[in-house]
Amino acid sequence: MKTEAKLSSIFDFQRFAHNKKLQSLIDDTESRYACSLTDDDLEWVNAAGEIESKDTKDNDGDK
Amino acid sequence: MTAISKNDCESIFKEYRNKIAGYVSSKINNRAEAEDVVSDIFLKICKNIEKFDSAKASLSTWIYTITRNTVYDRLKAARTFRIAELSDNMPSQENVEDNLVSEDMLDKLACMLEKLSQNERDLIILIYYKKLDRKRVADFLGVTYGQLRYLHDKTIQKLEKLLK
Repeated sequence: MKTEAKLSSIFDFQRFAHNKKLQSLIDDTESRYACSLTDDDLEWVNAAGEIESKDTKDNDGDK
Repeated sequence: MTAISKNDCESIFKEYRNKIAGYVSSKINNRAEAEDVVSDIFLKICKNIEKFDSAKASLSTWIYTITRNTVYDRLKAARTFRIAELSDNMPSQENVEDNLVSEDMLDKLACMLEKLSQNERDLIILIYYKKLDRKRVADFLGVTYGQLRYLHDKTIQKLEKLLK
């Protein structure tokens, strides 16, 4: 397996396993790039530019 | 070796429910569908628990593999997946031997990332964990796209020794 694919696999496993040491490094990076939203994150940004929670979005559909 | 039976399903459910639900919700935005997938995963775990072989993988890795494959099968079926999220190495079956990841690898990767410079570490996390577009990563790091490619290749070479 190529190194890039292996990295993707390990980071994917991290989403399941939540290794504390690795998570602290991820959190550190995310704190410095807090404005960097993924495409998934952008789905939850409303017209005012505020980030809605997924729960709020789901509940809106029930109204 | 301690054998695991169907009677252990309840304790496995309690121990792994949050991990499975967290992983599933990170991949599937629709809450109702995510809950359905979590139920599907637990059914598969309980149905196959007596086939689990601790000599081949840890219970955590085995459960993760079932979880991941169930999620990707669902995404493929719904055709709602993003191409970037599908690994070229995604196995079609719950065969953990060919594509083994382990808790040890997470510790090793964390140790290796600590040895990198801040820019190198951010680059790896933003590309391979956050799945950000490389041009956006270049912007965030304040480098040109060409510089990012050079930095990426150099960092990958450093990590290759660990990940072999």
